Amino acid sequence: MQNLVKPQKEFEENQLYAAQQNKQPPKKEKKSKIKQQLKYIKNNYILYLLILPAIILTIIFKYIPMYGALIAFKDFSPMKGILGSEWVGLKHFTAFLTSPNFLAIFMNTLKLSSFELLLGFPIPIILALMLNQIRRAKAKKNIQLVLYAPHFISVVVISGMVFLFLSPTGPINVILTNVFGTSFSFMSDPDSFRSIYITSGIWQGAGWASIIYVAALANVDPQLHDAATIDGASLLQRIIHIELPVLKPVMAVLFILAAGGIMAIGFEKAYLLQTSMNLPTSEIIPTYVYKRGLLAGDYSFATAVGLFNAVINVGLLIFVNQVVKKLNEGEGLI
Amino acid sequence: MKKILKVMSPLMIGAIVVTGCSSNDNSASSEDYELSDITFPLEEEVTLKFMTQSSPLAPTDPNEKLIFERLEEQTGVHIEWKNYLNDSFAEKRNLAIASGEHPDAIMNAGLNDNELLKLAKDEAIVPVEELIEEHMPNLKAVLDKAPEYKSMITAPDGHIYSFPWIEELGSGKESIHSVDAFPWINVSWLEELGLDMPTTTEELKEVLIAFKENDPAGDGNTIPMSFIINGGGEDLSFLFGSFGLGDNWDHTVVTNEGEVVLTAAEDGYKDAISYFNELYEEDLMDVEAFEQDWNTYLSKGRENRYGLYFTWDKGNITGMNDEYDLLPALEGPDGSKNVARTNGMGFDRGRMVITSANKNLELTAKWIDKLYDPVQSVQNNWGTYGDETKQNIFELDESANMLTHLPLEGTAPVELREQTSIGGPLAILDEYYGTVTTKPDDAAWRLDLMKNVMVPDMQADNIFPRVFLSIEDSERLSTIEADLIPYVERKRAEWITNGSVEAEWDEYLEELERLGLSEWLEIKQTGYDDQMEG
Repeated sequence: MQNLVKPQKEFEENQLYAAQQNKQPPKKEKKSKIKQQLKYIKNNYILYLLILPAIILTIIFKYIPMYGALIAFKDFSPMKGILGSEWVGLKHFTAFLTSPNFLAIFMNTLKLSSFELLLGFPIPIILALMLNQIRRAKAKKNIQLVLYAPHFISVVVISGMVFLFLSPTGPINVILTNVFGTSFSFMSDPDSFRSIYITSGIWQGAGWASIIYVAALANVDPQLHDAATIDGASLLQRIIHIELPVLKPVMAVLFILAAGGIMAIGFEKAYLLQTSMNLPTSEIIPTYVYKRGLLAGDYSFATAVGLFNAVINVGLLIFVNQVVKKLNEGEGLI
Repeated sequence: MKKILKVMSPLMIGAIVVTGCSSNDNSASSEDYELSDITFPLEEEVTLKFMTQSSPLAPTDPNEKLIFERLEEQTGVHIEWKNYLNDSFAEKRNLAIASGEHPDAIMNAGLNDNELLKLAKDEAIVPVEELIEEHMPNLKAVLDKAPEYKSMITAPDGHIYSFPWIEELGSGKESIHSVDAFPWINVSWLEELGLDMPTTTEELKEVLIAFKENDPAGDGNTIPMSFIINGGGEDLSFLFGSFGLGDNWDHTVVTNEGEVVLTAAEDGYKDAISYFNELYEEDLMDVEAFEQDWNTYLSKGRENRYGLYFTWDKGNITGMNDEYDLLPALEGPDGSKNVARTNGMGFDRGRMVITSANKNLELTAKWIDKLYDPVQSVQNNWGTYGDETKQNIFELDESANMLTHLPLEGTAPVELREQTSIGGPLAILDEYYGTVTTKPDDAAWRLDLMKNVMVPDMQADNIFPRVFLSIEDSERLSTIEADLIPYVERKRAEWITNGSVEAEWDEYLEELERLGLSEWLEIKQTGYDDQMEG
């Protein structure tokens, strides 16, 4: 019986296939697919409208300005315009790479952002795990509110606060003087710059960054916890075996995104926290670009430096993505 | 605050660029009025569009200044200003030029030689020597009377690209610019503690220690010594003079043998820093000296908390009273004393430029020439007369057409001037004093102090003059200086606080070399030699 049925089925399938082939040659099929897609878009146009502003913004602010990157290879003259300026090849890149402070500035950028990433990344996760343990909803809300608050303070104000707190006559130095009898001028010490930058960054951003983890943890099935508790799992064991696996995909994505921005570290805060004395560690590529480009008006050179920075950044992004793919069972972002 | 404004400004520029694009009819420069053989006042009022900068103390719209109101009446030219605060001006100016938003002219342009030559090379600004010849009788008269300025404003390619600011107050060693950071010592404290005016660096240290121990300001408020490190007119550079060649704000001096020297690479400089570190270790220096800004410095000065502090004129910080007096040069450990001269002079090359977008060259030139009229120049620089709403700097003697300074009555001169004066291109020659104007009291008083207290100890015969280098040389210089000077200034501050100058000196000299010191010196030396020969 079985032998009889199978060929029959095969036959029927072949028939169907042949019929399809005859009725719809491949070209037409493609066209109708596009038609189908257009129809789909038409039916759901509201959804596409939603992403339209994002696409327009990306084109206007990310793609169109790329045309300006041309001046990195030219001696930009405002009177001749971007296209009319003279080509100079890699002159500005050579000038930057051979400038006496290149290595220092490059390493500062790399160090500041990688330390920020490595130290700043785990904190929101720990925070989320801790918040998740708070059972009283009202207390949890209040604590979260307090943790989010600094996120809404402008970086200009934060830097002002850092300067006031750490000034030689500020509260921290008053405590130091009273307890240890010495004071320390934090803002003029190159070795303290990174710690100040990163600590204040964590204070400001950790609460906000933990939101996404808290949301992910809310999806954990409470039965898992109950079952584990009955089996005698300790709190730590439950965190390691139940909660962390839930967070893992979110962590992977966020880590790649953060690593993508590793060289694109914002210039405002570093510039605001700069003093002439902490320059050996606080001069990073973005502040250097700002000084050479906007302040000194050396646009071509600054653009070349910026472009160099972006190229390094793309390289890093691809590298981190590969590493995460390896660690995360083949799942990366790109 | 400065930095906050600086960070905000790119954001605002973004907004300006966006709005600028959307309103093209509102061009940054004015249309062609087709005027020629112009005589002021014009029959029909026209508008020119200028960019400028001003102090936060001055009105945001320069047209509210009486001087500009009068100029508009006299000429029939309305000026539409794009005015920025001093702090953010350079950036705004550069962006406007780069984005093609060229005004008719830029007043108080603050362009250094390299920027000036670059703009000229890009043809963003126009050469003006013919305009001067044909349309600017006032400026021409100034250049005829003082021909040295003509060669100073002429670029190596033979063109003149900018209108200068010239303010003669004393000349040679007696110039008011010879020393900008005067040291002011609290003489009432000296008297109170029965101390003499220090004459050596050792004695100064003892005096400062006495200030600290006796706390004459009370409640531990005494600050034996304060300054703003690397802060130009508030820097402690004067004290370097007890250790050899001394130091000034651009760290460049010329020895009496005609050699250009970077002060920060001299042995005396090292000894001075060691001495300052001793003072620092003894807690004699203001802990905020390494990061304070003008306002912090000023507020502590107003409360009379300083034993010794540095500034151009004590009137601006502690007021014109007898509490403080000028500290004369001190003998160093080896018995030598010196007052290093700055390379400043009352001359600024790039004060005003006309852009190539300007379609009314003759009109603009004639308007600018008004600023070089002697009575007008004096007001531009210091302030005006007959303002019924504000304190006046001058009164005008109409029959003699001469301006006389009114007493300041305790107002800080800088504050009053910034509110009413307009700066810009102008010329005040020494011969004007007594015929066109009186000398400002504070300047006369400062010139006296300079002559009596400072000049006797000035060892250097020459300063490094305003050499107009070629575009290649000036570009090279500014590239080297972008790395060299911040390094020098950082080390200067660092060593005073940590005292490792002896240990790190050789390494420091090597680093200076790596940053291009030899080339820097060579360019400057060649420029100096050429200037001296020519």
